[in-house]
Amino acid sequence: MPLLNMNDVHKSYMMAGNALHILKGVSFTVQAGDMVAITGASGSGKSTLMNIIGLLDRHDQGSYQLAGNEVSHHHDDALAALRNKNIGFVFQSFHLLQRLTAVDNVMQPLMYRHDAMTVATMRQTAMAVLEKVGMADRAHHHPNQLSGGQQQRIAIARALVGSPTLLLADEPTGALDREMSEDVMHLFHRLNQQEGVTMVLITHDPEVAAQCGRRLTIDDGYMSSC
Amino acid sequence: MLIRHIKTAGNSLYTAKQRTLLALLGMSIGIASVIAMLSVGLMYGEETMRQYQALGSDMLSIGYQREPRDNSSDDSDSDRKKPAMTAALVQALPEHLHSIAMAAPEANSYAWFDFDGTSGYVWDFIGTTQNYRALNGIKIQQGRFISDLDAHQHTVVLSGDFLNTKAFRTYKKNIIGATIMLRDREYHIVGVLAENAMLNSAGGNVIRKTAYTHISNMRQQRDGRTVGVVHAKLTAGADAAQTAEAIEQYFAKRVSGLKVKVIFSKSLIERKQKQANMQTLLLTVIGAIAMLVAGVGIMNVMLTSVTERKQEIGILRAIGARQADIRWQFFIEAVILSLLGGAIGTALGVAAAYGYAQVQELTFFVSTFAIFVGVGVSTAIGIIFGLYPAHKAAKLDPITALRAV
Repeated sequence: MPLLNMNDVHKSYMMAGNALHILKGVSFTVQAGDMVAITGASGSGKSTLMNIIGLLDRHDQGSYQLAGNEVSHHHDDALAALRNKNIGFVFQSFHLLQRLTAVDNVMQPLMYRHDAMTVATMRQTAMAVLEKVGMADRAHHHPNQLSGGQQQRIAIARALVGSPTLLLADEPTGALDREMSEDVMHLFHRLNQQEGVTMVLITHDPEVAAQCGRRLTIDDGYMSSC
Repeated sequence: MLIRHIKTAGNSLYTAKQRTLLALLGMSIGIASVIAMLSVGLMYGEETMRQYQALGSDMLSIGYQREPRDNSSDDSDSDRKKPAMTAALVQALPEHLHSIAMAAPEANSYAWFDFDGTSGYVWDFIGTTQNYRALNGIKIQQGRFISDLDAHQHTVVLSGDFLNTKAFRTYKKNIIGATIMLRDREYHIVGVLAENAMLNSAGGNVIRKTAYTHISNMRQQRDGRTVGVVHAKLTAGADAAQTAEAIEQYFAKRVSGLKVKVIFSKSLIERKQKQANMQTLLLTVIGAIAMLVAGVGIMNVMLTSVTERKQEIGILRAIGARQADIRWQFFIEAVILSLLGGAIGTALGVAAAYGYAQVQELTFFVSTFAIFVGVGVSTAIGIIFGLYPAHKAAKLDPITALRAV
């Protein structure tokens, strides 16, 4: 069974009284261990698709199964729990909380897991993941004391800390220079190949897309593989 | 989870120091002024009640009943002699009524005084008898009070504030035995009252120049009355209502047409108590308004905080925070802010009340009511004015929130 299975997903928005049809029947699957790039021009529906994959938004029509759950009719709280457990977000502009140290940022998802994990255990787990992304020595730095590449590594650690079934990255190298981009992509490859982390990368950078095992393109609300 | 929320709230409040401080400032000042106002009000109330109760609840006063107004009356009518209580009747009262332990008449007038080249106005020139002192709890700083042996002797006792006048100050300790002209007559000064020697009828201290002489020195008013009011004290265990009736009969039997009215200090005390309660209520209402303003301040700060931290809310939602988690976080921040402001404000307010009590020589006490107001109201404000911003934060769309800068 695929880890992610989207079938004929539609989404439209109301804009100034007009229905704006963004996704016009998107179908695709992602298997566990895949590293998939979704590319598309701006306005193609890329961001909308990413929000729906990430359970931040709901589709209007079609079915979407994530890790065996049909999420179409889930309640908001259930979606939050699914996000917490199954999805690790990596954003273009890192989206770290400036007021927290690196390790505190990384352990945030565990804080919302509502299980009996103690804070000490959460910190331990967070430190282990920081080690994995090579940032253990920066654990007690605040984000503004770190470079963009370092911040993105912290963000990746945060995405991984809850052992999600899917790592969802939105333009993960968009805010980084070439060297740092390569560094982050290298980390992604290592995580995918050594740790078996399933990845979906949303990007418009063909170089990044070329490094993924599968490439999907979204154009004017339709999905095609290439 | 609650502890984590509190930690998170503490962390974000600490991060936004300036905003937090401003909110705390507004809240503390609001609470402090309310606590100080309430405490001082309550202390004054207690003080007045204490002074009244020191007089005893067995005190009574006898006055004239107001006559129904005669439509045909004109100015000349006020010269008509009215039935009057006399000093002799008043002094004989305890002999005839066993329920009366002591009585003293009071004739109230005013006078112009001349003393050693200084002259001025005596607001209250009072004629009375020896018992007046015991009945009113008067304190003397020099000499003695009027005695029954002073009948037809031109002796006078002055209130303490006379000594604040330059002419009297030079005499200081030698004032006893000096003479003062009152109503163009020479009086020998036999005593000076202590400052704050007694209460006047309004419940405040006597602050204006008052002189006491024996009632035999007082002239009749235009209506033929000399005694204006009578102060008396009940015998222990006497029945108030029966005594009132007996007093009315006592005067009615001896002077034709004389109708008197008896007022017990107990009812005065009760009235005073009601007044004090009203005052407290009024202060509480004013306080409630101040609190409302403080609450709006908290809400404003929290709403600003929600707007400024939209992105944080978006991030937290993305990593799996439920709406309830976000709601709790902002709600607890508001409550912590209010409680902290309340605690600081209560401390400041109590300190201010303490300072005021020291200056005004009031008996200081920390009123549980004021503390209840401080803690209770600030908690309530945190809850009431924290709910809406927290709700607003929780209901934010994660995508919009993430996109916010």
